[in-house]
Amino acid sequence: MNAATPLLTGERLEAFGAELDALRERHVRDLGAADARYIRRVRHAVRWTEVIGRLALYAAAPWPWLLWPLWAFGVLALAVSKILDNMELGHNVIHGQYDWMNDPSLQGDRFQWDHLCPAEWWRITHNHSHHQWTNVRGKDDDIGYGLLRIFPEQRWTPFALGQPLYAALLAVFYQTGIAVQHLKLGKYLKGQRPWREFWMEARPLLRKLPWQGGKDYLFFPLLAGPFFLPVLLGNAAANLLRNLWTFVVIFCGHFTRDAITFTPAQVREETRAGWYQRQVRGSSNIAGGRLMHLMTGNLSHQIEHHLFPDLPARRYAAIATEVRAICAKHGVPYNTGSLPKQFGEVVWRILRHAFPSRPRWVPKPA
Amino acid sequence: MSFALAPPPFRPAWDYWRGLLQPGWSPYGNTARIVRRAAAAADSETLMLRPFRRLAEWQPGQHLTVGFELDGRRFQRSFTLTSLPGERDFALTVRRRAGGRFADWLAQAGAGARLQISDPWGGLAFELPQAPRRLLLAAGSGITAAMAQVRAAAARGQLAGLGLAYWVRERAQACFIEELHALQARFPEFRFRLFLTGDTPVAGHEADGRLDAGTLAALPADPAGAEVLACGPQGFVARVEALLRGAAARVATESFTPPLLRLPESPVASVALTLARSGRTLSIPTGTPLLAALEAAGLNPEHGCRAGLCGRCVCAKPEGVHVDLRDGSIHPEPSRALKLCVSAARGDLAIDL
Repeated sequence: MNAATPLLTGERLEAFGAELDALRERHVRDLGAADARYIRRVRHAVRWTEVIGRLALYAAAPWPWLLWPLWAFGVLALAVSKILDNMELGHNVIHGQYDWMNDPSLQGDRFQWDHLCPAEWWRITHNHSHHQWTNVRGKDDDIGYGLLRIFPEQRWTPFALGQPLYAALLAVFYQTGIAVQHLKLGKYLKGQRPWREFWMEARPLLRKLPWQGGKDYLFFPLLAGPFFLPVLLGNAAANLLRNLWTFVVIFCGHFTRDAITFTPAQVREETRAGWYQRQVRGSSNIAGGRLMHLMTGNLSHQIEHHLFPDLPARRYAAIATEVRAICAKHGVPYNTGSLPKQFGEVVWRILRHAFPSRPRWVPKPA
Repeated sequence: MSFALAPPPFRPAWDYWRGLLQPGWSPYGNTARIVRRAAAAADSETLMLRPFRRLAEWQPGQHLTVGFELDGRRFQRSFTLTSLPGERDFALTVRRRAGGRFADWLAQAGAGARLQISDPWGGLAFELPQAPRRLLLAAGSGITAAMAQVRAAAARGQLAGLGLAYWVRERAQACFIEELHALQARFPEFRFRLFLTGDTPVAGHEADGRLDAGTLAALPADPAGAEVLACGPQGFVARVEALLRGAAARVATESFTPPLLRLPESPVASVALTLARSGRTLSIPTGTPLLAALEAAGLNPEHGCRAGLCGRCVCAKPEGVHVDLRDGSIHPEPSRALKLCVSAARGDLAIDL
């Protein structure tokens, strides 16, 4: 089974969807203390790794050439904190995965994360556009972020020739890329919208930028006094590690070889079961152990996350076994593989579709 | 054009570390620690609580809402303060209803367990100083509101002309009996009678029977011309109103009924939806998603996917019962995050919109 496997339709599709509905309901009924304990542990980990990382950077700052292993440890701990905060804590909490707890500190619509993107924009670009319209061309802006040509169905222009470079830059500045996604900068750059409107639209971001930038690039380095620079570089390195890692994980989620895209016409009359099928066919998992799942915020279970974005992510590993069985039973391809394999396929797509290409097949309804 | 910075992103970290250093501190309101627990009756107990911050000024008979976490979920329950204002610690007497969430929480709460607490609110009070008699009618856990008044009156030495009638099923369920006897011994003008609906009365202060026209004569004080405060289940309070309104100088009542028991017996076609922030009340059909119902009423609340995915339409539901249309589950508890697009009203509902 691969990308060319025909799509389920009619009764067979509805039977597939009914099993997934039942699976969701079983897990909703089972929510409880274990989920609450888990997300609070994640929050402990975010807070403590941040303090440990920052303290290590301060300790190493006066003699960085001597204590560079301590400096590197500080960078790593701070990066782990940011990765956990953004992925396992922030991303999942903002999805409303823990809303059932009624705990105001873990509530999706008021959670603040350590990320430049204002949470209210994230709920629009990610929770709404990307999760409702996953891999629908023209509706899901995450397909190449308006910058990259990932699928042959996207129109080729000479601009695409430079995309290996754009992708590398996007990886380095991934946080900023995500933060400005909502603004659709392309429209301003092409002159379709006046820059005057940009300053109005960008206000939530501009209101957050001084804090978010000032924290890592001014406030915490200044606390080190004369040893400003090593702390600043350490913070920058931690942010860079976080950016690269999240880029790798997220690009593996929808841009592997067997992930497929859809046209708006295909989803016009889509049922809930059809939506489920699109999530499975458009997403791909990363195989790995518990550490991998934790550090990817369980986006290593991208398929399960897309099927049930509001179930606590710690359940995806258990859900995955059942989803796999349901997919096998109904003949729906289930796309998973090791990180090198999946990311290799992503890199190949970015390189290959920089040049003109045509879809080799179109998945047809069975 | 004004330009204000966003709230600082340090807040979550600040809240975390401060909460770790000061376990009673919470950015979401006051908390209290249980310092003592004592049995009040067979199925009731009195909790002495020490608030992290002193309670705001309050009056006897006022209530307090406590928040507690059970199996990962936060719940709220309201109780009447039974101690007197002025002390730092305060008392709540609670009934452990079998299978009740707060009872379950109490069963597993260790020493020093913490509760989230609200400011004192609401409450009944005597308002007619010129009334010749004051009568307190309490059924079941309604005794807490009556006891708050008895204790306040005793503290002022003003028990003359005060009567208390207290209904319970079995004798062992009655709270504060020893204290009431002691008060009666000290203040002979204080009249107290315990009505048993499921036990035979033996002692002089006991009587039997539910409140009805026949038992009116057995009340410890004549209700005619008296000021009457009544507290108990909805049915009891309704009977008090029916029997005494008109005869008494003033009847004030209060009842606590769990939201599920307040639902109409047969499904109704439309319910009242209160929009707490805008102060409007709409009549909306049950069964349709709230988002659609609000739009039909000409409103346009923020929303996104209409499928329960994106969370852009969530709003708090302080009161009422809703159904999650995705799986038909019924949610009687207050919620901080109700999704308008996949929830329907089951009974009257209040949402924070």
